[in-house]
Amino acid sequence: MAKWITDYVKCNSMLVLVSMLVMLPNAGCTNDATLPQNPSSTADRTPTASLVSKQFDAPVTVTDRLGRVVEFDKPSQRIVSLSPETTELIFALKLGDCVVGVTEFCNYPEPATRLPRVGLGIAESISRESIVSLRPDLVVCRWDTHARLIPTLERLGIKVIALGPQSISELCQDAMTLGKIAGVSAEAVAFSESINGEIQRLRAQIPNQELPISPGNAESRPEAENAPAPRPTMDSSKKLRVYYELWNSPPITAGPKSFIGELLELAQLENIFDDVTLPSPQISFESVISRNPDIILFPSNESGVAVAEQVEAIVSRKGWENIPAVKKRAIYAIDGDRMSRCGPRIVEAFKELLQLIYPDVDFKLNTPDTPPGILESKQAGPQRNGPELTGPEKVQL
Amino acid sequence: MNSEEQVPRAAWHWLWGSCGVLLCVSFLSLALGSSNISFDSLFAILGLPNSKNLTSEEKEVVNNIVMHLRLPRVLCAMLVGGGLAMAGVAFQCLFRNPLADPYIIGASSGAALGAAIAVLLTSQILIAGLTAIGVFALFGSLAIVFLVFAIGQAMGNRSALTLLLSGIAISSMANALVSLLLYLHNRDAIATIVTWMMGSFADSNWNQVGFMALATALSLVWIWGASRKLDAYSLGDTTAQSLGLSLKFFQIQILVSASIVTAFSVASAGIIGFVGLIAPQLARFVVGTKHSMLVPLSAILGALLLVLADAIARVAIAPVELPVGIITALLGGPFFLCLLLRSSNSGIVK
Repeated sequence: MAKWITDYVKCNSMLVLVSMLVMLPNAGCTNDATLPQNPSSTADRTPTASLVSKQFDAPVTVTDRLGRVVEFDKPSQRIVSLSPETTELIFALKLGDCVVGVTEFCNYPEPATRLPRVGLGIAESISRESIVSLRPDLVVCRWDTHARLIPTLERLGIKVIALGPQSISELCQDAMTLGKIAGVSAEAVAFSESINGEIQRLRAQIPNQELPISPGNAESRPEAENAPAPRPTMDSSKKLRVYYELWNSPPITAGPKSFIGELLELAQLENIFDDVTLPSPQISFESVISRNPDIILFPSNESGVAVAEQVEAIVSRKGWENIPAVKKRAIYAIDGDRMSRCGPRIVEAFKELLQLIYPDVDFKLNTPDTPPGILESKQAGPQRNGPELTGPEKVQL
Repeated sequence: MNSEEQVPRAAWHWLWGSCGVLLCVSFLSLALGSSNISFDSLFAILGLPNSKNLTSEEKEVVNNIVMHLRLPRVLCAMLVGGGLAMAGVAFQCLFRNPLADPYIIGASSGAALGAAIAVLLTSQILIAGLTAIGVFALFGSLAIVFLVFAIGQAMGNRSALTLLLSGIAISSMANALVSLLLYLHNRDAIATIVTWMMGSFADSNWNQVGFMALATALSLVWIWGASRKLDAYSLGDTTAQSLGLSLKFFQIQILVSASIVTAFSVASAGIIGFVGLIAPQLARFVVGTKHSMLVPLSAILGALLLVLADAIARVAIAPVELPVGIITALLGGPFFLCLLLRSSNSGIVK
């Protein structure tokens, strides 16, 4: 017994040592004060860190999505991100070097996949002690699914902000919040400008002409109240009617109040469920039939089933054969990771969406690496690498 | 009626032995978790002599993990396990059915319903240091259990089986109401309620340990203290009354104490089934049906089961944590079945 314990102890101390060594390369943004025994950490500093201090006037106060007011004395330099979209956002703000921990679902950008993991998506699965052992000065969590984590982490003296945007404007707000905390407000402004600019640019490329697929039964529906932006005038009866299938069993769609609904609306599409109030309501197959969509969209790589099979499954649903979208086989998959996360790649998702609906137009993004104006000098970051946008995954059978 | 004399020596051995095992397992589980903490560091944090010196940096991290995350959750698991097991013994005796446990009788469902309502109204309010969830869970649990019991009374307490069946019916209704609330409400609140219903000690804190200690101590005093009355009650209403037991008062006392400890357990750790059912059964295999032994041994076995399950939940697929209920059932189930098969011939289980 005693020998077993000493062996275990030895083994464990080795592991602690190894894990500390492993953590070193990520310590680039670490403040000297927090790691006194590691002189090497200064050598790893990136230009970001020096830029950081300039934009930070302590104390900085931010309000998160739960209405909590959090005060910061120094820019956050060791960040744990608990959701894929905030991870992408943090990297997009060129703060990738400050991220010290992510979740199993944070698969983009590539450097994020090499960081220590602290759990799956839901609060239940997240290891609080893994977070503590990474010594973060900021944990970015989702306001809805992670609410119960917040008091636990706060008790341990870890600052937590709850984000989780549900629209493009909220995405930009969250970027500003993170920018303030990490002292990269200029970066955040550039990010917002870039996102909004790209969306506007893509929208301007939407053809204002005859629609590629003529609408089947154009029964006019009331517009969603909160139309996010004024759109070019177009007769609403001419709009293509779209059904977005977020999940197939039970069928869940994206309502007009979700950011997916917002993207659909920006793409001049009419959501067949534009009368629902929940962001992602469960609906019935009958209601899809009675609402006659011209296009059916669904996110790919959510279930691992091949796209062609999923399309076939939709086509073979009973009673769906007379739906215009099924007749014309206007059933398309959209990259699920991009489309289902309200993060920086929302622009790419929007482009993919437009490309599917208006196949004759070659939609172009602005040069994705440099948001207009500000960041010409800094190309090195691993983030925002959208130079080659893969062509839309189009399944026209 | 000196029950201590009738308790065999072996039962005392079981009691002290399981106590020792519980303490050992609890201590060892302090060293288990997704972040590796050696026994050296553990000893240093616990202030034991001759332990290694930690740098202030290490000390802060280890101290946070051991003193503010692991120790509260080990203690909380211990208290919830013990409390639910005692509630199980109490309900089983009261309903005169070995299947009655806080989960089946509706105490857990009632607490869940109360908590779901609290989440939908607001989850941010604190009442006397407990969240609204805890307070609502307490009232939900008490309300459901008293409803079940009132129905039993209205039926003239004819049979313990009808009482149990009405408990099952009402707890199903409470569950359905929870599902309905979840279904109709915004998905965001669902995430909160669902994760909470899965049961977990991940967010245990010293506050909860305090409340749980109070609730478990209360039920220990009330339920264990009523051991002889429980023994008498098991013999049937007529016999119990002829032995001088005031039925109504006794039933209410047991109901209230069992409901309180269930509600506090649900409020601090979410819904954890199975413990209240299995721990008393295991204890019965070992020490028989004398409540003076059955109550404490059930409590210790329940505590042991949850401490073990929580430790496994932390390390099984680290750094990802598992809901503790999964481990409880996977761990306790086979053990329970094994005992059941071995003793099915010996006539202990009727």
